[in-house]
Amino acid sequence: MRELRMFWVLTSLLVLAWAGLGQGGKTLVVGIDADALTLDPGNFRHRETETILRNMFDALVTRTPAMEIVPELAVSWERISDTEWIFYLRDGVTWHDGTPFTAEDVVFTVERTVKEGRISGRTSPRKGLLDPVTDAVALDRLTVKLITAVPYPALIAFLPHHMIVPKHYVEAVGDEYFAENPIGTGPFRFVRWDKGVQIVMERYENYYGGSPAIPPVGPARLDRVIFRVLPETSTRLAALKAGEIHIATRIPPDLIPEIEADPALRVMAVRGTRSTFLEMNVTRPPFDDPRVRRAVAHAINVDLIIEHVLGGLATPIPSLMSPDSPFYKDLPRIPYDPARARALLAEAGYPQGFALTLDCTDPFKNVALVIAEMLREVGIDAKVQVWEWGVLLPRLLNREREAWIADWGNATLDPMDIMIPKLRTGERGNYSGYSSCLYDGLMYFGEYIARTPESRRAAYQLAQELIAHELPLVPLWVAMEIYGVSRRVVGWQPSPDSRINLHRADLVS
Amino acid sequence: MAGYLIRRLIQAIPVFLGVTFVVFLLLWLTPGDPVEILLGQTGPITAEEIARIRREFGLDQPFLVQYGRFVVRLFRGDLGTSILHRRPVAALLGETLPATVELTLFAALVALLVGVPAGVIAAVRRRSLWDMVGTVVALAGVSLPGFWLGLILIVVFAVNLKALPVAGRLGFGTGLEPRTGFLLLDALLQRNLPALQEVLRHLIMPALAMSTGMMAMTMRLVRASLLETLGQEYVRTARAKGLPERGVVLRHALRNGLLPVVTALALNLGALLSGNMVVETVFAWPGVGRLVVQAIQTRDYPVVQGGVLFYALTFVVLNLLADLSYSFLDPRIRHGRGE
Repeated sequence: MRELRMFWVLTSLLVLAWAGLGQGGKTLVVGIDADALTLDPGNFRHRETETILRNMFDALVTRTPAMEIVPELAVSWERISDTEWIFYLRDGVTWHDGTPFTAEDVVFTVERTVKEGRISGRTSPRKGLLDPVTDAVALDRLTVKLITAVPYPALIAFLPHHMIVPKHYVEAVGDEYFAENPIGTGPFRFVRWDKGVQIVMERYENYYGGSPAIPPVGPARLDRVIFRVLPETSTRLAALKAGEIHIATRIPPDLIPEIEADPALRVMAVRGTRSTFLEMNVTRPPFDDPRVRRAVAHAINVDLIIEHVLGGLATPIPSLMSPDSPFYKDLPRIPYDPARARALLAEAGYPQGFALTLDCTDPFKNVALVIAEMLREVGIDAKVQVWEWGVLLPRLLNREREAWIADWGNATLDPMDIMIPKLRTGERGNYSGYSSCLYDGLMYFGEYIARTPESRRAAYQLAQELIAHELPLVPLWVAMEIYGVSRRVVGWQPSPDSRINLHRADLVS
Repeated sequence: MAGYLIRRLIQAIPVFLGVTFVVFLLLWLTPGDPVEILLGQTGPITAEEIARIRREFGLDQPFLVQYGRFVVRLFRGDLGTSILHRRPVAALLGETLPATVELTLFAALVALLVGVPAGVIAAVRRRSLWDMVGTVVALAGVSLPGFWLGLILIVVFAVNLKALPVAGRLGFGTGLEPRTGFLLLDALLQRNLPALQEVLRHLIMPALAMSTGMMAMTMRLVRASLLETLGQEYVRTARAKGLPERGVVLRHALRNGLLPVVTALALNLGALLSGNMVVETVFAWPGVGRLVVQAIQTRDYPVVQGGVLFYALTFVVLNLLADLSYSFLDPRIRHGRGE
């Protein structure tokens, strides 16, 4: 049978193990769970896109791994009035094509973000992240003034997320070409983008060195960086174990032992910026009664869940803010006390407890099952329902549900980003239906009236106390974000805002 | 023949309209707001901003208006703009389509190269050890989920043996410039042998994970069909003429036995093309399946529509090809129909 023989020859040819191709220089590969949506820093609202682009683009300011805001393309800044900020820019910075960076680029970037119809006729989806800013004016080659419509003390906290784009280049090549062939001022310059597969960048030799506040200052140490798109967690882990990638993002806690068992790998974790809560619908019984909400808080043993379900990789919080935020108020947590919980339920008129469906999405399933068990201990007959977020969300907004576990991101660590959308009356993230004149007033004070950082902090800290007292939601924890990292990687540590900045990273053999 | 073709293609138009209408309706009924999902949780977002984006993508219009606009645009060859990617859907499909088609064709080739010979052996050596082993393997092939098989392949061949790359379509540093998007073709056209090798190395595992079902089905079909033809009188005649057994099986029986296989193949190919979302996700394969999965999760309506339209088109074309190939393989059908 000639055909059969042909078949075997072909098959053996295919199955033959070929040697991989060598890659010159030091190339660090990051396995990331989603591809960039675009390479235009003005046209997305997507965490992974920012993580990738931040290696090719710089912003006026940046954050240290400890989340402190430090100068980057700006050398310094001052607030000359309630609504005007002056930024003094760094001299000697060049774009990847050699053109000098100037105040005109900053003006162009700001206008492209906040004015309507500036990106291929559409408005930047990042407008809302810079919204109170109405204008930017170049005062001279290296000085720029930002003007806000209202006093906006949180401006600096949002600026690390706004990467500056090159005016001369975007105007010459157009938005669409720029989105696939970008140049920036960052430590790495763009090489190629195989969509859905990888983004390749290499060291920019004339880099000005990055923020002086984060040493060492100078060009990147790596020759090349590749972000490889590996959406499936098991595949990402396999690629890490096979040595094909050096950093794997988003490792779930249950896979930690597998990484620790491999001597070539290590687990790196950092406290993230997402606060997790058990939220309740406070617009109707039983959770319209603060005593019932307090009973739920007493019924949950947060420390036990962190230790046994989350592998110890989370920090309990007393209110909404993360301990990493300068606005964090260190309040006493509500102790685990099932007897007190039962007493409060009886006091509120539920001596026999009540039936409850606890909603969650898949990542919180295990947590929800444990919490439901704890609630049953105090007489609340809880069962868990797992949803797809897109299906659950409209039901929450319609106040159709009773209680659920969810989290909210706060990458800026500024209260504006979490305390306002989560609990101010009528806000889009206020699923619990909480409404308090006092809370709204404190938010207004912090946003528009407070003149000094101290008075702003005082307002937000008072609001945290109010929440810890009224408990429209039971604060649970801020979880760690976990990375699997090759032991060859040095000079890199994960950042709470999930950026992966590789400027200072290196590979050793 | 040409008239038949044109009539069949015109008949396909209502199919497309029906499919898109049902999908449009299903998406409409599924809860979830693309704008909410797009904006995520970063930063304060005003109601005006949400309204502005909804207006920009026409999401503030009633259902029938949205569908009507979609159909009108469709006839102009415009599939709309992705809400998530903010780029034309046609461009997104154009980028992902070659990856999916290449993988599917390669998987189908693997399935046929294994399935047909295995089926022949099983039929000729009926009830032998080969036949039984083949039956068991085929049963396993149909039952194994592609997701699981894919991960097992990765662990064995990529992690432990380090013989094949874990995932993806092409490493960096091959110097291959994707022009057609079909990387095998690109590598051949550019006479880049190392790149060709790399492309093949990346293709093997996802193709295997995808092809087991089709492989098993092909094997069983060939076996059954060949057993039937082997019992026919013309086969007995051929044997009586003293032809060698190999010639009898391959030249006389197999050609006739392949007829039902062709139909099954065409339908299977459609299922392969549209059903490889799981394999594409496991192997980080940048194809239509992954694009559509992401679009469904983010309620990116225009992309889901475009993807479904592509799948519908695939089935229509493959069915047509199967019908046409009948008349090609079997002269009796050609003459009987008189077209």
